[in-house]
Amino acid sequence: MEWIAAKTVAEALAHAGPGARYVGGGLSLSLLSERGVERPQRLIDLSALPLRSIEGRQGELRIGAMVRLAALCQEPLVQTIAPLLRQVVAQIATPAIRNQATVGGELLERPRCPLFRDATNPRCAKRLPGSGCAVLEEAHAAGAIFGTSAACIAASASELAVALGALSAQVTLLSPEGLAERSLPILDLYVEPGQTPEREQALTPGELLTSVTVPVSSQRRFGYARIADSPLVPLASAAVMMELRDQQVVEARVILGGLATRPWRARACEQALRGHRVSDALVELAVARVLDGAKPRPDSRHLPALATQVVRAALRHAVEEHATVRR
Amino acid sequence: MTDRPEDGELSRRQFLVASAVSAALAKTASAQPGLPPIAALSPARPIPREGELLLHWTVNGQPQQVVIDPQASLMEVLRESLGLTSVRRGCEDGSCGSCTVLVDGKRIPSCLLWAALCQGKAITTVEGLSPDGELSPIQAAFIRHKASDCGFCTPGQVVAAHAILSEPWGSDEDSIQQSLCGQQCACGRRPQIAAAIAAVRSQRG
Repeated sequence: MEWIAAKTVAEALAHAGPGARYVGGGLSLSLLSERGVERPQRLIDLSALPLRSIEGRQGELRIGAMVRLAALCQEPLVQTIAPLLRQVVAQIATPAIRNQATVGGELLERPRCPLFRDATNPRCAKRLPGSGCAVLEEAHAAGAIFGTSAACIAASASELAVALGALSAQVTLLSPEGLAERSLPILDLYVEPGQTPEREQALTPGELLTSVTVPVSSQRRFGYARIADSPLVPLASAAVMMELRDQQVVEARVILGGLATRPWRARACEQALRGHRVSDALVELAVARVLDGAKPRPDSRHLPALATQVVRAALRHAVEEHATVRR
Repeated sequence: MTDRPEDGELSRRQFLVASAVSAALAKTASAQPGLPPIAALSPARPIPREGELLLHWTVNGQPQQVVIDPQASLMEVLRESLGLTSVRRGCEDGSCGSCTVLVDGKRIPSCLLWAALCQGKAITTVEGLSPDGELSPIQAAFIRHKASDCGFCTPGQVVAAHAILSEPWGSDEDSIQQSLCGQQCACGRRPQIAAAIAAVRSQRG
């Protein structure tokens, strides 16, 4: 295995290619490599690149991809401008892991499906295209209830993406082809498995995630809730945003984590909120639509109840925040 | 199981033998004042073979050079090349905290950290918290509060507790519990560990 300590972004991009992987904090990649799930031939260490700043600019917060999660939590700007982000990041993994884990690495975390992460399991279409899915065929684990396909039901892992989805953030990507830069809404970074579960993000070959941009709005209220049985990963989470004018919800975002093959927009739930006066009753009307489009299996019977619980709690937090701000 | 991890083991062991020699020399040189420096003892500074990396770093205050396999974790290099077996091989997925060490003063699970990412860094294991043989305040508090039982996880717990004291946590019980997330003790000494941290924190005001 070849180790490249890139000194510039251009140098990192120049080393991209088949078998090459970018290394942010390297924690997940080292674990998956040790288990034989990932087999990188070349590791491109991004530690020295200038992607570690957090800047507040006009109306937005720009966060470099190599910012450590602990640094993001401790940055006063984040607490002031996007407290939701701080709240979510402070619960990701463990304090020691957050010292090393990076924003870019967390966003590109591979699914925690136990049979994807077990290299001795021969049936995982994510690792071995066309090999089927041991979870679906042998019903070992719950998997996702939204966005699944016949090939894969692995739930996406990034919690940061759930928060950034509610915050309507954009990601900036840099391509080795002519150093072309593009931005896209964070939720468009993720793709459903369909027939190509080996692909989890809409990244082109060698494309490098360089930063995340969070817009700031004083009219938006946020809420987050999660249910976890281990510190490393929540079973279910929800981040919500309600933009309010007077008492009317003019825009809403409801993002689910842990339950879907990608950070999941509960669009029916958002639709139920838009244009209505904010109230406890409205929260219940919205919660009633959380499971639209859900496809639970016998092994994931417990997940729909978790989905409604986290969305209800997150929406109530947002309503409370609204009430507090108005006082 | 695929055969690749085994191949990795083999090549890792071969490199470990070579680098253990230079580490042992370094130990001898530093332990006996008056001996010539390491560069004069070893025939040459460690030379990485193809696919290996030469790491310049500081371990427990000692500047060192060590040849590593880029696939080696920090835990493996500390334990197997440098003999620092206080760094435990526990869960190996970053959730138990028995391999916690400080990298430039910040606690990190060394089982998941590629040693190659530690170029130029200062590594501290539990040995480095009491370089002169004097117990550090947190070590003394662990003894006073009986925060250790079987002892397996203790070095990682002490390193984590040392780091927690310089992290921005609140002083209430809930904050201390949150700060210990990812530090497991199978003997159930978590309450005593939390008490030791609270005691040192309150001494410092």
